[in-house]
Amino acid sequence: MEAIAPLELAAAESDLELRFAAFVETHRERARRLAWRLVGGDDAAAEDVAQDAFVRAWLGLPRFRGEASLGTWFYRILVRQAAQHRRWRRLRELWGGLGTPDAADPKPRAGGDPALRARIEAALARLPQGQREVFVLVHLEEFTVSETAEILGKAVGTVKSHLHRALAALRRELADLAAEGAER
Amino acid sequence: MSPKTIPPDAEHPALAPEDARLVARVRDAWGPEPLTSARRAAFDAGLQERLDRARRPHGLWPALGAGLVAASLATLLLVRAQTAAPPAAPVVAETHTALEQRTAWAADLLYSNGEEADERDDDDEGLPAEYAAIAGVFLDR
Repeated sequence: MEAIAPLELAAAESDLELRFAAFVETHRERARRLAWRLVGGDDAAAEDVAQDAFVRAWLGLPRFRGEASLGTWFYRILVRQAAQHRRWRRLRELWGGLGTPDAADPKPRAGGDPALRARIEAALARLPQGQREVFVLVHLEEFTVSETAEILGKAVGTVKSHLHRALAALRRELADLAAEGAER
Repeated sequence: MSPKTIPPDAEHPALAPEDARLVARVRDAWGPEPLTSARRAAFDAGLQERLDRARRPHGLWPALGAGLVAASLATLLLVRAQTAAPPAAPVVAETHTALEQRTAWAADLLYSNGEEADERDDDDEGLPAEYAAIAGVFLDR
């Protein structure tokens, strides 16, 4: 086997870093927004989850086999990180409210109608995790059904069924929003 | 990725008009503020810091530390077991006896009256020497 010169290795590494920087530039905003919606509207947590996903993607690049697109693979990492964050937050809340949102560490709120945001947040929080993830990925982040199935590691049929149920539940809880839109 | 090659109903499910309005309202009302240039710079700096930390070799110190602690504990256990008394009976039988004794309090609670429990409390001298050594370590006697 031909030995790789250190200079070539450094060049390859620097090329990889450049490509990764471009990847971050392309996906930063969407990653943060998706994380924000998956963790339930918490800016700091969303940035934490998104950064962590980028770092894990960087560390996992040597193991990336190209079976899925790099983007799909990255978002799979991000969705898992967000789910893990939610689980930890629930545990912290169970153990004495250390991580209770709005208590010790109030999350900064984005603009818009706060009451409406709270209603939407509560309605989405009541959905089972699978339905919430599918609804956010397909309807809010506009991933395709196949991409969503790949990101979540679920069958396309399961994704469609989750979508149907999520929408039905939200229609019941937020019916007035659809009606408001029709009046305009 | 070319969405035109995929039938839209297969990849982006068609929504009834009221559902489409509901989804649009949720999408518009429920999302983070876009990053300002200052916050984008802060995000990138935070990410860079994490990447640097992840790239930095951790070295052998954590593994060495853990190994030292494990070795010290093992040595301590061995020394205390040896100084207590040499083994006399088969290990399986002793372990069984020790387990029986250690779980006896639960059996007392469940099945026996108080008198029997008191008798067992006074019977520590009859325990195998290994039990005393183990109890010395774990029960701080």
